[in-house]
Amino acid sequence: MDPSESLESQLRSLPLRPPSQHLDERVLASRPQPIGAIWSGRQIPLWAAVSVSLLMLIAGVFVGRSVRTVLPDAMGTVAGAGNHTRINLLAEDSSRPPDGTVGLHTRPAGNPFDLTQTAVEFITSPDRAVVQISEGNDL
Amino acid sequence: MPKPDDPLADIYHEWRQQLFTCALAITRCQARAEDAIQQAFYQMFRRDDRPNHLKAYVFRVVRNAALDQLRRHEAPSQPLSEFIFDPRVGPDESAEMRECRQRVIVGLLGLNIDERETIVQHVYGGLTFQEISDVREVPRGTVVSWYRRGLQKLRETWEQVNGPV
Repeated sequence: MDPSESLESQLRSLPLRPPSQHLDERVLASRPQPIGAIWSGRQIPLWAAVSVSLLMLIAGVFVGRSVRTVLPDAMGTVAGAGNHTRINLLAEDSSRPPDGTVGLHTRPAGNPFDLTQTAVEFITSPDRAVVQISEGNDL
Repeated sequence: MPKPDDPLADIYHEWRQQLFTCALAITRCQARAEDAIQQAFYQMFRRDDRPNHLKAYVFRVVRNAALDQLRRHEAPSQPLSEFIFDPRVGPDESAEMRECRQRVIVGLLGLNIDERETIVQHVYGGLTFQEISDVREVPRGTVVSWYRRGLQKLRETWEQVNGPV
């Protein structure tokens, strides 16, 4: 046998240090995962999907009902929370808007962020206008 | 889990031991050799332009990552005394085999870097001379020259202790 081949065979006979067992996981985990693969193989059971849907439906109904009870109705009162008026008109005879077109809708305090007061100018005739000032929390 | 038809994953599974040995011969540190392999595959998995000869390409990228590990970190304070060989003593390993391994280690570490790496790549990495030439981007004749010279030095070291091979 050629001396070089003999030496090579002796070199090859020596066992090599193996890599650690975690190397496979590290290398293969470094592959970029397509987005679809994140959910592949993770099927949600039908009973779980139906249960969650029902819970969300029931919660939605309750939340809707509770929100609806605190909203003022068209007359400015709060349904189901007593009959107190939340919108107080400053002028006693201004419970209903005067006849005429709305000429100006402003904030009388001068502060555009003051949402507690509003002034509506009704033009009732060519030489007459009525200003109705309202205040409240829900204007 | 990776797709079984991914050629890079196939190359890894087939050549993982050889890749690790070649990286270990450069870094002389197991953790850094594994870091280099992971870093190399992280880069390669994200590249679309893979060459046709994938094996030489993978070995080249892993080698570059190992050299990068060597540049970025200081040399290990305690390089592996067993070099690339398994330090675990098998049940049937005789004292003679242990001594043989030690002489090979001393002989390999006595070579210059090019000769040592060429012998490791050819004998333990399973690379042909042409593949080593591609991996290291040097002419094939240079690779053959490094290999023959390194083997000659190893034989001389061996014969000084054990007599003619």
